[in-house]
Amino acid sequence: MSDEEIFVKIDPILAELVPKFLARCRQMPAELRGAVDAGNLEIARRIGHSLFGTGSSYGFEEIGSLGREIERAARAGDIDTLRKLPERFENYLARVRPVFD
Amino acid sequence: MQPASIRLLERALSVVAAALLFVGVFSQTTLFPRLVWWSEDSLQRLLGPSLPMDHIVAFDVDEESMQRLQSELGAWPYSRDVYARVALFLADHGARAIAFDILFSEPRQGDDALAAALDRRSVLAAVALPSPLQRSPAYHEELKRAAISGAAGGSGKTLSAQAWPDLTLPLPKFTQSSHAAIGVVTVITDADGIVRRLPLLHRAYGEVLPSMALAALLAADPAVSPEVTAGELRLGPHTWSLDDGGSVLLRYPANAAAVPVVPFYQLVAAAAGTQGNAHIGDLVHDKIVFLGSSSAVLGDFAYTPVGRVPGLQLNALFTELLLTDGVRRPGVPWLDVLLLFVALAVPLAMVRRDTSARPSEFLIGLGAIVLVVAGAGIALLVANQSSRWLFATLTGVTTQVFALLAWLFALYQEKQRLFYEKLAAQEANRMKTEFLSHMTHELRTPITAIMGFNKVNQFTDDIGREQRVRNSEIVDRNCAHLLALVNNNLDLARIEAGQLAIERKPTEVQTLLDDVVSTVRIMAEEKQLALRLEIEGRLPRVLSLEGVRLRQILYNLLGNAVKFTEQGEVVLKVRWDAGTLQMSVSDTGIGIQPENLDRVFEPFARVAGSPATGTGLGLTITRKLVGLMEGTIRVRSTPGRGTTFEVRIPAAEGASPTPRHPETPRAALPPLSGRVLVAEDVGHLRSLVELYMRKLGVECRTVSNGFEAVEAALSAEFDVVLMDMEMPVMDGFEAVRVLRERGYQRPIIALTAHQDDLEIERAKREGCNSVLNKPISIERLRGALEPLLAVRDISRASATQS
Repeated sequence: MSDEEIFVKIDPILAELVPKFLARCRQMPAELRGAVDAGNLEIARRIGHSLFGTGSSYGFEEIGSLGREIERAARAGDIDTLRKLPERFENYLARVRPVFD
Repeated sequence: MQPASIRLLERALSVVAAALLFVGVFSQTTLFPRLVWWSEDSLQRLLGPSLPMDHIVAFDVDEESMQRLQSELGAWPYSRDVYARVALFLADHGARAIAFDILFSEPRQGDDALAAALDRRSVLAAVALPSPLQRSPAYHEELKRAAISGAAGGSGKTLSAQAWPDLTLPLPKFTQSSHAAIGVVTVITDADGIVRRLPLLHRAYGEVLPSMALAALLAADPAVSPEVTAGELRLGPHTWSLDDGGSVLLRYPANAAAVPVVPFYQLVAAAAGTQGNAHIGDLVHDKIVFLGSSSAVLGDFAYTPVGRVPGLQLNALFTELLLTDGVRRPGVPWLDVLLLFVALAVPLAMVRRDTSARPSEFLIGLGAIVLVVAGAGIALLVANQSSRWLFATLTGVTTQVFALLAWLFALYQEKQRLFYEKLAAQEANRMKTEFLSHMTHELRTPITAIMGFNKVNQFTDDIGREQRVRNSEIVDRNCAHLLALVNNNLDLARIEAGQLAIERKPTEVQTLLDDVVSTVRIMAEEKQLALRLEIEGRLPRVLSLEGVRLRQILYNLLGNAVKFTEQGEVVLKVRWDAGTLQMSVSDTGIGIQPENLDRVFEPFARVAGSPATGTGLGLTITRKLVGLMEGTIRVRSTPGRGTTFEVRIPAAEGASPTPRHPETPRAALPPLSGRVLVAEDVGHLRSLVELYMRKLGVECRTVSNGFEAVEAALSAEFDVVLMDMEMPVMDGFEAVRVLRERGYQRPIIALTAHQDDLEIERAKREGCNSVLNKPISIERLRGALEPLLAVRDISRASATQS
């Protein structure tokens, strides 16, 4: 996967909240893996659902759409996809750079 | 349809071309010149001028003279002594020229006396008849002598003249020493036997001779010599235009019969000095005198437009006409073209009026053409100017008639068009009615099921909880179907009304495809079908297209494929081919019979025997959406083997999706006022909403589940509750239901990340006043709250406080 930086324009009034949000996001892939390993797809679905609502509200479209995919895969019981998504998520988190303007 | 102006121009050109062709062909027939002759002759009789006839006098050896002179001179023809006597008498009394319209080609008694009496003033007749003398050198010498000066020799051959194979001349002895001139008296007639033209110049054996009328003029005024060019003959003040035959077109006077004619016996008597005839001497003074015979015995006469005229008078009349401007000028091309244009103006104007023209206008136009063009032609005729006025008038009239026919045809076409339009409108109306009745039927089916199962649940006590839940699920499914049907129908109506605008935005294609496939996969797995997404070659990450509608297209096609396939697989293949996104959805289902392939895109066109699920509008909408996106959709199918739908949509490789937060000047908006309870389980979203609420000027309390929300709402005063629907402990639906059950009446806004219509419907059913979809932005939050909260007027608030 690419390690190019991804610049995302974020509303400046969220400047205070975004670092905390991203920090919280960094814990999510592990939680998701845990849920999948434990076979608890409902947790995985909730993680996806909240990631969608929160990520997109903060202005991180990609997090929103990852959340959507997690939610769908969890609903569909698509374990293969669920196992792939945390890595995509981590890769994204490693590359994303919020730009406040 | 082509523009009206081009259609009218085409019609005008065809009408004019047809009329010109018709009149052109007609003018080549023998009928046309006869029409011209008839009309122009009639006009000459009606409008011809009266000539003074004061240049000429004719002495006629008429029946009376023949009787009276019988005893003295014997029977006609007379000894030529008598002509010698009268010639001397006429010369003595000042006749300017003496033209003998008698052929002196045979030797006769008295020839010597006549030869001695002739001089330069004399003109002798020649006729276009075979001459017994033609081979003699004397004949050719005489011909040369008689040739018009300046016209003989090489240049004479190029002059326009009436050519004769032979001419019979007077005996050479008459012209040898007397210098008497020779004038040709033969006239030419038109095809109808009427003499309208006078050949001024005649040619035989390369020599050009004058006609008798011209020769008489030349003899009368020997000081003036004629100038002859190819198309013109000039004599003193007179200029006559000659046609190819060296002729001029004559304008006969109304008083052609008024040529002064005196019986020959009076001249003989006067020449003999008989008492009582002195006036003859006065009569001939300064006149051009013609001598000849109108006797019926000789039969020398011609038919003219003004009637039968004896040859003697005719020659005298010709001379008078030449002297008094009785020759018509030839036609001028630009004048003819002008007349033609004037004639075409009215029919062209009628063509321009198109179907709004009235029949009476055609009649008035016809009258106007005849009046103006024929009037102009007649006026020109009176002014001695030839023109093709009759051709122009006929062309104008014919064009007008053709314009009338074209008008009738246009009216007929218009009527046909209206007829077919009416048919089309009726057909459209019929289809609409059919659509409505179909739609009503489609709506009735789920409604009947809903009502039926609902009634069972309502009024049957002993069916048990399990059956009740199953019934309820059936009701739920039918509601969903009903909603889908209504939504599809609304989509279709919006597309047909042109209200569905396609908005191309940078879209991540892979994500979109994954989304669609994972959604349909649930359906496919229920039926144990494999669903594969195959991407051939490189796919750009971001394409500029209408993502929402592309999803709808793929959902429809994939959904259908799954629906109509019982075993096997459904494959979505995607390929990017320089500007076109190519997608195909293949299944291994029941397939479509070839005769039904054309109908699959029609509304409610379900194939007999196929499972009647779905709204029957999916493919109709799909095709219309593809059309809106300027793409194409094709279907091929093998019954029993499967079906493939191919969609091609043009798209541009785009930049990354634009950030969601547009830069809007928020500062300008006045702050809101009120207290809001926010129930949201995700802490970071809670913080975000709190921050936005602060920015909006709203006081806000947050809780993290439905239970806390119910407690908080019932224990404190809030203007609005913002309730997330999916929360732990107690979800939003439950919390809203409990609040409403306990009589809570304040507005509740549902906050949901579901875009599913059913979720939204459910939230409203539980008692939410409105729905705010995630993602949340400050603008959307304001938009949801503003109708429910007061806008704080800062100035007024401060005024009240002071």
